[in-house]
Amino acid sequence: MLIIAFAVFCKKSEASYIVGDRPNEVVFLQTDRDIYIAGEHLFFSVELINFPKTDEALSEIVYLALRNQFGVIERIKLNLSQNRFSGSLYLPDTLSTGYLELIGFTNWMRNYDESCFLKKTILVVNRFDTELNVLKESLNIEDQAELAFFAEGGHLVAGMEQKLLVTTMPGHILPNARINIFSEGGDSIQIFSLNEMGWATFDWMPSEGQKYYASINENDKRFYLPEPEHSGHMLQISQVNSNLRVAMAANIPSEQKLNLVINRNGKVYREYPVTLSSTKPVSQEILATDLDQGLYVFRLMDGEGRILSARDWYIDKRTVNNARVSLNKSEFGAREKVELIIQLEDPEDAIDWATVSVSPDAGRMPQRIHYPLFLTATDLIQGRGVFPNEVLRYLGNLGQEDINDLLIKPLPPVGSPVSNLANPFRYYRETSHLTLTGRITEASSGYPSGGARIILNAPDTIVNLLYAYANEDGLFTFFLDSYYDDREIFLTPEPVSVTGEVRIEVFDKFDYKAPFSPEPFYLPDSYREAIIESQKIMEINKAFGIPTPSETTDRKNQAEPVRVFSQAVYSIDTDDFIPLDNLQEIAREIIGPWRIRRTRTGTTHTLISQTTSNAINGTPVLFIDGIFTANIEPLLPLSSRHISSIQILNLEWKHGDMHFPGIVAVFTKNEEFRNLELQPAPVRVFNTAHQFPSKLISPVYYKNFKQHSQPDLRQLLFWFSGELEINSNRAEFSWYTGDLPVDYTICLEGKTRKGKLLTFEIPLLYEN
Amino acid sequence: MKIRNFFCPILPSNTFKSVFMTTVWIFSLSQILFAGEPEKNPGQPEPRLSGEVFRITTKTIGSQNFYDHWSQGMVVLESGAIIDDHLLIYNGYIDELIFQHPLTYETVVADKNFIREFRLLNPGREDIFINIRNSRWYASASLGSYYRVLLEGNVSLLVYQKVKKAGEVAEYTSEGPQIHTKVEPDPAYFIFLNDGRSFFINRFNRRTFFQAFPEYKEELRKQFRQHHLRIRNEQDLIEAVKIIEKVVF
Repeated sequence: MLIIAFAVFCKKSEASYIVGDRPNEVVFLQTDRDIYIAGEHLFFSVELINFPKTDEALSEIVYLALRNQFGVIERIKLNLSQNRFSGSLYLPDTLSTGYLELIGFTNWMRNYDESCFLKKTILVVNRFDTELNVLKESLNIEDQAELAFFAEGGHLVAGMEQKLLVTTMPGHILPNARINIFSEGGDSIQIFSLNEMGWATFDWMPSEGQKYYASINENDKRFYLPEPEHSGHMLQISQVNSNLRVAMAANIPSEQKLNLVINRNGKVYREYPVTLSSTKPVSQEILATDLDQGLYVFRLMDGEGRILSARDWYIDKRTVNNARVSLNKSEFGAREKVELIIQLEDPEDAIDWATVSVSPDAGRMPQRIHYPLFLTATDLIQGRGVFPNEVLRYLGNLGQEDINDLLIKPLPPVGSPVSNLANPFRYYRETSHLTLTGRITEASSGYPSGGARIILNAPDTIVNLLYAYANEDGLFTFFLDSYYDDREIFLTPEPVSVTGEVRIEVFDKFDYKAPFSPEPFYLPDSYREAIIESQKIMEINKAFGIPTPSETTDRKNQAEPVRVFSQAVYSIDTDDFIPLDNLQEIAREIIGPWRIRRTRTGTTHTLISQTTSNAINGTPVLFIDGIFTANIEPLLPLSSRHISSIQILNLEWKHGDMHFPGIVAVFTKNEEFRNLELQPAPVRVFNTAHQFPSKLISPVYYKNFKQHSQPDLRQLLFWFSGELEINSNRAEFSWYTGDLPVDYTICLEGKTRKGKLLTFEIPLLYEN
Repeated sequence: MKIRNFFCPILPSNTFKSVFMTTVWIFSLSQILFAGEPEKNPGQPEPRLSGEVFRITTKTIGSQNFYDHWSQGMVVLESGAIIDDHLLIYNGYIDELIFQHPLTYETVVADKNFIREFRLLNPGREDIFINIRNSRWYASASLGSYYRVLLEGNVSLLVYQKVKKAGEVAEYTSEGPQIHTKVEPDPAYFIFLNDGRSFFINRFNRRTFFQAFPEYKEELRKQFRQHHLRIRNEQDLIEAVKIIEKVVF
């Protein structure tokens, strides 16, 4: 019977749940700043992007975790509205100084490698940290820096001039470092500087049989370049006016007939025959304007389909910034109104959504990930099947030219679904319900209890019940609606569905496999002063008790619980009767149809049927304060002093697949279930509700009216992220400056209804 | 999907004499969902039916059920969740939905308070029943009755598919006399207007409608004549209500 039930369950629940190569859900996260003082609020916005686009409904719940080297500090659930969420997160003031990771993901993304989760590093500084060793560490990155070299086309071939990319590794980025290339004999061959993102390209013709190495800032440590190959093929791409010039050459003994194959999104886009005979390059010109937006893979292939040389190239045709941005003044004093106006050039277009952040420069890193760049990353996902997080790590804050230089380095391979069990288990898309997943195993052997039925209840004054079956691996899933928000949940194995003692483990969605690996910032000395200043501001705010003014939207109505029955046949209130000393007495004296018998071997109980007047076969199912329990023994000592009411359903009852030989629901005056040793022992979890959107509230000041005695030392003057309700090509944002005599930067990103992108950074200058 | 508000009428008793009645029921208001084509969402909990195992069956002369065979059916719970893989029977004698448990094949009387709507699907025909709550102020719990939807719009036509006891028949066997209850269908038809008014149709004739809608009497008379409509059966009643919908709204 159980097997049949399980088969039915599996068949239904897995329908249309086919896990593909990629999750087609991408989390994009923006924060108001990158550097915070512990005790501040971090404002963020999240967008869930359907990419590559599918017709399936996207998840509506996104999880966001904040973790440090010791584990997860904050775990929040976000309820998206139209795939977006804007909220805030308090950074506890007990946090010690260090880098933290913000990790964004959906339940659906858990079917894949964690590399598809969004990760963002932030720096949190404790306000009492005067040493600021973290800044020293960031400047000591040079000691830990590693260099990596990549030849365009994939092979460094001797005797041909080629373009090389040299990068410092993620996590140890070394901006503006001087690189010196030496031959093994110590002759300096090239000297150049890395850019501020810690990488550079250079042209170079290596000699055969030679070894080369590089040094950073004249240090002794040597970084060896790949050894030039004796023979091979070269493929270089460059943009010449409106053309793409693909240069191909080969260091080979005889002429070769080859094909230049251009792929886009996994399909052959164009193909050109090429004949190569020498190291002198052969060029193929392609009109770039003919190429659509996206990533192209250029491959030099022989007649047998072998790839001899390959290179990715990105074409960006997204329109950015067809708008003018203006402020009502050029400089602002304390507590003055700022009006930011965005005027789109297209009168028929309107701003769809925008994110505006106004904070001092020192709070943000220059290599910020902005929205257009994120869209570029999604193009690369489609083009090469890589996860955006991986792409963003490489791209930094780049334009098309820089991206194409970086694409000399091959993109990382795609992740794959992690579920490789014989009986695949799916993490569902959470569209309207939160999921709770776990595993049930035999306590003695640890083997999965396949087919076990697990019962879920929340303590309540009504009998509520969900149940789920474990699959062959002992895995189970519950779907929880808003009734279970911010409630304790109890999971109990149904004794008849398991053998012996079992153990229920509830999975923590925030239990990551990937180790904590933040990407430290490169923080020059100028940041030290700004951070110390921020620490002082935090101290003043604490001293005056000035909170971060924010507003949270109201909660939704709670759903009704899933009830087992709507009306009991008998409902007894113990206060209506004389006090009785135990449950057996209560049953005997005031509940006619409930018979409890105590014998030497134990206690049995039955119900007399309301419809047949005969004893119902089997033992009635018990609920204590809404929680399922199978054994009456622990409940027997309960007296009228403990029990408030008892409901009896003396009918043979069905609830889904479950059969109840009657139901007895005992409700106590003071949650007595907590003091009883229920058998089997339920597993308790707390189901935290998802967070609701919140926004920063800017104070309002009136001229010549000193209505506020408190200092206003806001570091974050303004934060807005969301859709704009106005249907016009002009949008206006306003806020008031505070008392801090510092310059701010207004960062604005957004998208218009016609799909054009907006990205601006404007200084907000302090009036000296 | 349409959401309609219906006031639940008190069912006519045998002593009910009036030709029709207009009632604005102040006691109850029930939100009924007429689901166009409800769809199941993956990633949501499997909805479950609850009810009492039906062990006692009264043998009757005449059928207690709307259909005497199991019909493939769909049940919409109060939560909006849909169950579409159960075999169903509507028993008009006890006004209960009975389903066959898909695993144990037991017959179960569905807990009426959890049911919003159910549909009996038979070849070429779909019968929609809705549960109209009748939560009177003096009742501790809401009571519901299943009504079959014949027509739904600004003017809706519903029928309470009641099966009544028509008498008893004594049968003499070798084991002694046995008393069998004789039952027969006793449908009660109601018109619901979207403004909350409802009418009980006691007799199948044109006059019933003229008296129900006196301000449209002449127009209705004209339309009925034009359509050569004489109200003699359920189908004629449906046609008449369609005309009323056109005339009144």
